[in-house]
Amino acid sequence: MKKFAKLFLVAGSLAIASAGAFAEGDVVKERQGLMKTIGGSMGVTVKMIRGATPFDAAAAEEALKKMSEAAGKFPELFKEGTDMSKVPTSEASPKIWENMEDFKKKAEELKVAALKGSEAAKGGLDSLKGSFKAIAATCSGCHQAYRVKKQ
Amino acid sequence: MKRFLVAIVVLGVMGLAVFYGLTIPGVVTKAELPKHTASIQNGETMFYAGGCASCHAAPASDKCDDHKYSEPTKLVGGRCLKTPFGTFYVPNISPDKEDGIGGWTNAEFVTAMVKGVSPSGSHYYPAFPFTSYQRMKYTDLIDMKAYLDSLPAVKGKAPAHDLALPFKLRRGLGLWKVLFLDGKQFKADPGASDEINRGAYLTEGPGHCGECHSPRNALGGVDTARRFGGGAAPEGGGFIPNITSHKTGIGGWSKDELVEAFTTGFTPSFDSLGGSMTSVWKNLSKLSVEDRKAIAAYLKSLPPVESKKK
Repeated sequence: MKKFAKLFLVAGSLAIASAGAFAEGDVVKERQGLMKTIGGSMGVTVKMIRGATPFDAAAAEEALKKMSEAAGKFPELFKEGTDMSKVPTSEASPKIWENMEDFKKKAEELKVAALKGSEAAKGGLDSLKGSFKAIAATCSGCHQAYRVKKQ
Repeated sequence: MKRFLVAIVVLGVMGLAVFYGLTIPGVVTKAELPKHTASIQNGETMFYAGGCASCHAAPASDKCDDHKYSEPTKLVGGRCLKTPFGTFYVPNISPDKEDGIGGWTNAEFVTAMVKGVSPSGSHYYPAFPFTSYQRMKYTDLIDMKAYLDSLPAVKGKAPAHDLALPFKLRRGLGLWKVLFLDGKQFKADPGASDEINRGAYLTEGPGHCGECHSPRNALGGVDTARRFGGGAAPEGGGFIPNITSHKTGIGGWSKDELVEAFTTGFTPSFDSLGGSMTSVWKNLSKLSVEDRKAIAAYLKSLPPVESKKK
């Protein structure tokens, strides 16, 4: 019986540990989904700015709002143990966790810049263009420091 | 028995002589340089095509491996590259006479760029991509030196490299060069367009794209059969993407999309290029649009190679 209890304990802890691993994979998936959302919003905005699609204030506002919301979720999704060395699908550099304050600041910058952009979109295409540079700079600034390509 | 010993000694001496001969650092003499009035403007183009600042500008923070730098024209060095061979520290190439390269002649500069050899005659490590710079025209190198000389002189010396023992012996790099430094300048392909040839020159020479975007063999040389097919990142544990026209590479990208990436850093799916590629696209964005188109055209013309991750 004692043996059985031990076995039960071991099996139980293994199950919890693997559930944990699943949860880490899920967090990475969620982050990557949000990154795709941001990319999608970027696409909507850039195409309007270039004149590839007609300017649509409501669509631009909506896209940038989504971008801002996605950025707002980042700090809590970059949990301990979810960097690229621990989760195979992750491209998050361990440097994020070495510089968490800076990382959170960068996420906040994107959140704010995108929100400003969504407001600016109401004022017309030129106003949208004026807000764009600050948004784009946050993308490359953060990827430069913290994203490591795996493919 | 005595005869045997003599034979061993003779063989040993012959071996040393061969090693000595093969590892003699190369040099480009003043007499080999063309008569040329330097153009600082073209030198600036070569500087940005060559991405000198990416390594030689000081890191933006106190972290020596910070990908970001604050000023591209203050080339004080000090950046560290943490590789499997050890840690390399990038030297000062500002025109400071003591700490930088302000005291170098054109011939010494060209020797460094194409032979990978310092003015004092020692081999540089191939973390400095002279394997690509050797393709460059001497006139472009003289222009580059003139541009570098026009930048601010900055004081400061980088720490010595911190490498594992066998790699500490610089003389041995001469053997590496026998294998991987062929000494050939770029030759235009008469069958290709002027645009593709310009792109090939920029990509293969100053741009040194193949240094990171190719797999390397056990000896640290580029695997020529799979050039541009992507490779393990020299630091940080990632993978540097395939830039051939294979579907695992940039096969799905149009030429315009490549130019876009070289201008704004955005990929066709509006991802933003990151890591060490951020400073690369920022440098490329300073080239003429014709030069960016030329690089794109050349990359599109590369034979497809499938990405292979080991």
